[in-house]
Amino acid sequence: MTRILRRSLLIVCLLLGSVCLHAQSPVNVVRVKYDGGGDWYGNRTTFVNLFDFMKSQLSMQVASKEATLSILDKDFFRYPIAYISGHGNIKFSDTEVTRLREYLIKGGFLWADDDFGMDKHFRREMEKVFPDQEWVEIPYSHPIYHINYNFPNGLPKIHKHAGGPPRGYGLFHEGRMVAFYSFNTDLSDGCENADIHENPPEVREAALKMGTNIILWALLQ
Amino acid sequence: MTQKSIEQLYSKAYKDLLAVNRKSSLLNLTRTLLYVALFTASLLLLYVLMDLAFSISVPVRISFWVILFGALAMVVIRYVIPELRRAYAPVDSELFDLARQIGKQDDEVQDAIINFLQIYDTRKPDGGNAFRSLSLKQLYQTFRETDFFSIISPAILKRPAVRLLGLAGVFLLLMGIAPANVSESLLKVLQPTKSFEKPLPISLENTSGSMSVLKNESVTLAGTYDGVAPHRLWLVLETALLDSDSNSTDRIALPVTAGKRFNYELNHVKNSFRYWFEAELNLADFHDRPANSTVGEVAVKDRPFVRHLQVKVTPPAYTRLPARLLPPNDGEVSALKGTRITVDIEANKKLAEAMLLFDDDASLAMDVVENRGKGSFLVKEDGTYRVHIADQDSISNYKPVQYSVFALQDEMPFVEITEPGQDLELGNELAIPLLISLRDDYGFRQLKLAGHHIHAGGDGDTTAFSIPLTYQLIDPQRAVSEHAWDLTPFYLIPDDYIEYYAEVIDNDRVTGPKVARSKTFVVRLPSIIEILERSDQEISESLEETDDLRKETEKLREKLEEINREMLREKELTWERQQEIQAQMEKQKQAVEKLDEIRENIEQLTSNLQKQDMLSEETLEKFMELQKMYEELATPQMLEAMEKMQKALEESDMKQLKSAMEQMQMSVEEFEKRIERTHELFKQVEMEQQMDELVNMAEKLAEEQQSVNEELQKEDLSDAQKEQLANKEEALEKNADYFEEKLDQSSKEFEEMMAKTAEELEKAREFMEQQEVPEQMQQMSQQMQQNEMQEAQQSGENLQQQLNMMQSMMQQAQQNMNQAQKEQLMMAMQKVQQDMLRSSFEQEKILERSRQSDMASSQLNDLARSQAQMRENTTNMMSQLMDISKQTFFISPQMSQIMTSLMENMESSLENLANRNPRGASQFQSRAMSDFNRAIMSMQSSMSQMQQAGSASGFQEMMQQLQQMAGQQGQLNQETMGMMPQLGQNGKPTPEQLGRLAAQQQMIQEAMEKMNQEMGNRGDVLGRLGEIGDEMEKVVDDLRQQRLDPKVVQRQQQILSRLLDAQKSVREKEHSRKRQSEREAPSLAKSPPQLKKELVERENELRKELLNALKEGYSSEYKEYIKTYYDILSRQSQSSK
Repeated sequence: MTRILRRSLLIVCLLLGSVCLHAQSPVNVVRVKYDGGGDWYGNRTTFVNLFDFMKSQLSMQVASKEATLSILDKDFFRYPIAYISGHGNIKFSDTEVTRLREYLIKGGFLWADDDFGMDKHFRREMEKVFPDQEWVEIPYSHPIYHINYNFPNGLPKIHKHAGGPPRGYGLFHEGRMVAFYSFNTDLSDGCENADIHENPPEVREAALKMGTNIILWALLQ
Repeated sequence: MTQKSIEQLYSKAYKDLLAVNRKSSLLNLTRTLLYVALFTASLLLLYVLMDLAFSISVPVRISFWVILFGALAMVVIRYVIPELRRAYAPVDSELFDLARQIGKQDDEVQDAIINFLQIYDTRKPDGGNAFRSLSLKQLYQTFRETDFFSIISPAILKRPAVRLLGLAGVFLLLMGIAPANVSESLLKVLQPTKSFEKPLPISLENTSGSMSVLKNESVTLAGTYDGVAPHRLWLVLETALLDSDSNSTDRIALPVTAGKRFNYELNHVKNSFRYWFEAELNLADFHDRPANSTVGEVAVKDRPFVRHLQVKVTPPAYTRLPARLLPPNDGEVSALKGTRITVDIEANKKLAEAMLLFDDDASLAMDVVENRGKGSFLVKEDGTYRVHIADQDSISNYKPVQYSVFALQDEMPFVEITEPGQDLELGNELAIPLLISLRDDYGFRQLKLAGHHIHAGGDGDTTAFSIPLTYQLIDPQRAVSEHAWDLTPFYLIPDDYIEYYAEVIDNDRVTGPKVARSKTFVVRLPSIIEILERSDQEISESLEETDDLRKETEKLREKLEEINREMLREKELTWERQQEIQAQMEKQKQAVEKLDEIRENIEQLTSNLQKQDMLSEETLEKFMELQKMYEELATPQMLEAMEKMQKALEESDMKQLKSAMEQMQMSVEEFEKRIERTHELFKQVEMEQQMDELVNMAEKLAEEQQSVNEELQKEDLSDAQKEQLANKEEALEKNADYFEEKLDQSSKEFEEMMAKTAEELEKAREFMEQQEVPEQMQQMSQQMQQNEMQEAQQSGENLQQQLNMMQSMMQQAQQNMNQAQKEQLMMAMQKVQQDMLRSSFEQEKILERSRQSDMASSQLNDLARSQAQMRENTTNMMSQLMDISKQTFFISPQMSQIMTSLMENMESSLENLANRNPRGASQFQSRAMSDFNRAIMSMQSSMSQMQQAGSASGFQEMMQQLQQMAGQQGQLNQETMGMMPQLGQNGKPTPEQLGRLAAQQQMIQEAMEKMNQEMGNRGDVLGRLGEIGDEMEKVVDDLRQQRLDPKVVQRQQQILSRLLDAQKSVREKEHSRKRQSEREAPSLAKSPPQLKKELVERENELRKELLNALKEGYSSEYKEYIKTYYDILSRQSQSSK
């Protein structure tokens, strides 16, 4: 696209964007409240900080805190992005499986962040949701790692967990990434208040940036 | 007749009479009783009939008894008692009457008996007894034969008896007709005071009766009725109240059905109760008289339940984790496979059995004591379990809680080769220092280094190898292994390579040991020719690129000049002009980016050459300098000018743009000059690098030839070994050919800039040509192949001599070059030293004049001017010293201190002179002089050290010493670790062994202190090295005192780490850019493969445009707008599909 066209676009954006930004409700994420005994409720300050970061860095209209709902809640579909995390077991009922699949197929996006320990359970439950799909490791060249902040080596490493490099997996449905699974790094912990995990500032910043990339990718893909 | 006989007669008659009397009375009495019975029966019959007819009431029934008892009393009084008295105590008259009755029975007797009795009673004492006796006798004779008992007849009983029997028959008849009623009537008569009601016309039966049920279960209570249909039917429940002795009663209405059956189901029965059914009749007589069934009892029993549950988790022994208790009543278990789970329960009642039931239908009986149970099982896989209990009545607990068991895996161990952590090409050193990190959740069993040696050429033969490695635990989960991997045993020849990896086995004893491998790395031995050709090509490319860049910059400068000229005539900024300037800016940006690329290439090239030991220290330094120059080519002024231009273009400000263009033009001119200068310097460096290569090649050729010759000396060489040597010699021939060619090429290239060196190189080439070195090598190879070993040895010796000569020539040529450089540096140092000497003399003169001056002296102003001039000169000297110190380590840090002190003293002197205080000034001038002298001495010392050193900078010496010390320390650490009782295979170390370790440590300590002194305590260079003297001393002390514990090992590791740090520090000081690139830890993670096409079909043009737009550098606000816009476009696009 030529520079002139870009400039023209920019002008249009200024008009459209201001209208859209004020007309739309703030971007928000719904935290999935699940059964099975795992701690769905952890990382209390993750989205508070992530939203603050997005607001300050990108001037985005975002909520102040994420919502928390079970998949069967009537308002679950109102949120474009769902977030799931924890250390332990996750159990989706058959109805939840159906509804989550419907949510993802109809345009929803799930960001799962392994807090160390949920991998096996989460994969098992997601296999019920998309029995015909497999998690695919996302290459470092994928836009999710570059959409706004550049992560040439994929996910940043926040916590040691199982050791080794962090992994980012995607679940695709009809060519669209419907879920992104950040594993072996713990972005959520990285986004928490600085005094909780005492992450170095640069690590925390990397987590916030990657979190921002994920949200942006979920909204814009 | 005598009196006596009369008496006897009388007595006899009297007795007889009495007997008859008694018998008669008793008979009468019997008859009386019969009549009484008859009366009573009649009365009873009368009442029964009345009751049957009217259901006589209590008063009537009482009257029966009153009449009966009244009549009986009368009979007794009237008849029975008199009769009894008469029977046993009759009076004479009664006897007379009886006698009369007897007499009447017999005519002859008539009153004879009475008379007899009366006469007898009338005897007189006066003599009339004879007559009386006679009379009595006669009378007696009259009734002597008479049967007195003839008057008694039982027939009198017949009549009453018959009547009584008749009455009895009537009773029997009635009993036969209505026995129940008659019986009831009789009962009523017999219980006169009891109220007998009218029987109900309905009867209820409780068919469910008494039973036992479980608490909270349902119970069905059922019954039937017979007779008339009840008006209402009730189920009455009676429960004992807990807090009192009374009962509570509930009534539940039941429907009345035609089937005469009814039931009611009670759900969730909590307590025991009694129950019955009650029917209300809608009949006047029974309005207040409900009918009831029999009472049933329902006994409710509690189910047993687990009142308290306690789970104990005991991890497998190999994990060394302690057992832990879960929170009370929490049975959810997440535990490692092999973990023993002990379940302890307490039930609400005494138990008969307790079992653990698993989801795979397995069960496990628990030990039961009273109301407690205990059982344990091993975690093998994910599953669930329940606690089943049963009480003494075999009642089991209701829906026991199902707990999950999550079997955690003993994680795979992880091993990573952190150093070198990348593929390597071997240099001169056939050893690789390996640093391997291990991680596992529960420790390790074994670590080894394994892989394949892939032989060059031919069929790609491979040889597998496996080397066990020791490791040091950092904590139970982590360990490191430091190992200097000696590759000598592999007998590598160029183009051989080794694929290697680390393999760790964990100590999982439950599911079996797990093996993990690190990433596989390759270490390769490149041929010299390959290395040199590659580096030559890279240098050549970089040079060409730099030259291209220079040309581009020249064009850019010309274009900018042209634009500037044209803009002088223009008043407004046209769109075309704007585009033109923008295009030039793009070119300049690209030029700056290109610079970075070239610098990175040089950096990489330098690193490779250094690894292969193909660079002399001096050339290395120049390469670093070159990199720095490239880095500084894009000056801040130029970047600022570019920014200003960009801004002016965006704002379309003609005036601002013209100004920025002028600045830009100047910057580009400067840029062009710098590139030109850099290019020239690069060419010079390239030549020096070529010289290094030639020297190294000559050295390597000589070394290799020597190696072949030494092998040839061995007597028992196999054919294969001979073949191998022949191949090696053939490879040498190729290298020699290349070397000769290189000499020729270099001598031509050096001709222009270093004529003398070029000449020396040409001489060397001629020597090679004359001696026919490559041809001799080929000949020697053939000799070996033809098994002419003696001839081959002879050829080898000749070649060795010639190659040694060649090496010497090359070294001489390089030394000449180096000497020239050293002289240049020495000259600079000498110049500074001479300047210092001159300044010292000048300062002395000023001092003398100051001492001779007073406050009023007219010379003070002149002295101040001289002192100020001295200060300026000294500032220049400091600057020169700084430049020299950047090039050599032999300028000690003390020099900097001395110069600082010197400047301060001169400043103070100047101040005093300005204040017209020559005396005060002279004190500082004296100190300044002293500083000058110290500086000159220090400079002299530095120059002396440099002359003795092999290189001008001293870098090499320091590095060698540090490497040596680090190597020694590393070896010592290994030995110490091996002696640790818990780590090594050996037993406790002996005092002699520890003494030896202490001595070795002390030796390293002394060497370190010596080097520290030689280098003038350069803490800035040596990093933290200076601080470890104490650490070493502590280790020596500990070892001498036979203390060998983890602290000692840890301390030794710190020492080694600091020695390595010191090496890094030295390198960093020398080549900061190079250090940065080396520090970048190689990432083990490689990007996963690209996504399949079908997964990314939506990564369409819109998204790409978005990403491009975001990279344009717009503000965050604009970026957001752009994103929103693209989002809208994207959604529209989707909806239209």
